[in-house]
Amino acid sequence: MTLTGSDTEISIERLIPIEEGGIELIQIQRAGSVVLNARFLGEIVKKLPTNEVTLEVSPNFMTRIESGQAEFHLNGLDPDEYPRLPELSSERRFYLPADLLKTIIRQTSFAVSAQETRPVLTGVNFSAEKGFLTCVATDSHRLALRRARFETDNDLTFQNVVVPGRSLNELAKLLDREELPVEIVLTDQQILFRMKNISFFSRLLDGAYPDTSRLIPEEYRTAVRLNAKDFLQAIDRASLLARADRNNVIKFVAEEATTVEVSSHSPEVGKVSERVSILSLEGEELKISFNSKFVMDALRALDASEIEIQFTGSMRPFILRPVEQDSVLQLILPVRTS
Amino acid sequence: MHLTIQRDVFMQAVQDVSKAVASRTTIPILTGLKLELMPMD
Repeated sequence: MTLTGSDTEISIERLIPIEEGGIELIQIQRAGSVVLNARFLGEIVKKLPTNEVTLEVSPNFMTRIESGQAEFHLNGLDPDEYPRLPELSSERRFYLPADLLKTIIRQTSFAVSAQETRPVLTGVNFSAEKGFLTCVATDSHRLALRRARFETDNDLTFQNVVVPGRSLNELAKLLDREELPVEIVLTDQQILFRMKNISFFSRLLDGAYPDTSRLIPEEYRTAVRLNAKDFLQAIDRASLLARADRNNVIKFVAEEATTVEVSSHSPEVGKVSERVSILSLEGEELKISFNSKFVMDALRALDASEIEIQFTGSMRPFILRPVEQDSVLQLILPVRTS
Repeated sequence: MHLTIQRDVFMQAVQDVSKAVASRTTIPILTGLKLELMPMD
């Protein structure tokens, strides 16, 4: 039995096997199909009194749903009116472990743009070359990048495959139960993530994704290594007095070998400063201001115990990455202050 | 279509596909889920 839901941007097809592990899940009296209101069906099924449900569709699509002593009759619609899912036939396919795909989404999709002014930035840009997948998201104030090795049958190369952030967030919710690698199929307008019993289709975003490779500095003038959790908590505290309507500005000063200072000052509220122990400081002294929300998002996404922050001056973007690991990075533009 | 199914199995499947259903849509049939039971071979 298959169930299908769609809003034309995302379509999900879910298979229920007749039996699984020797247990019969469905007893068939008669094949057929119907379209039922998703909201009513969901609420009804959730509240049915017994674990056995009988569904019977009459020729006018009126559907009887019976469980225990409860009996619903739900108006159905003609399934022939339901849009067909795209049939994706493509040689462009590869595989990713479900947990890795979930991590990639968690580390990138939060950084997509929330604004529709440049629609292509509301998605995550997937590209692949030489067995490595690169996923990039940016809202033009910060950028998240994750690389991962992937399995493919052929020498797969592609670029500018931009998957809406919303699609990826919905997909992530379905990945928890998956144990097998996810098959990913690409066509010009659609991407399909095929799991054990679920096929997840998403429309791709039109337009050319900007070339982000030039944004990432290859050298740095100041590098600070620190404990990510301690730093996150200090920034969280300092941001209590920062104003959201003024970019949550936090000031960061690296002048000593063992500590950095984070501070915030709102004339109408008050001020806060805190010294945070660091593991090392390499290179020039530095004063920089940044949006605390972006740095906290980045630290949470990295999910590493020790991180390195690489700066190239107070007006240039800086990079956060786990110590001795280059598959993931977060780039943030500083805030200019007077 | 006429079948008997375990509620928990059915509920999980309905919840999975409902993630794709928009609360507001200009295409009324898309407020619905398509259920399809294929004949046994």
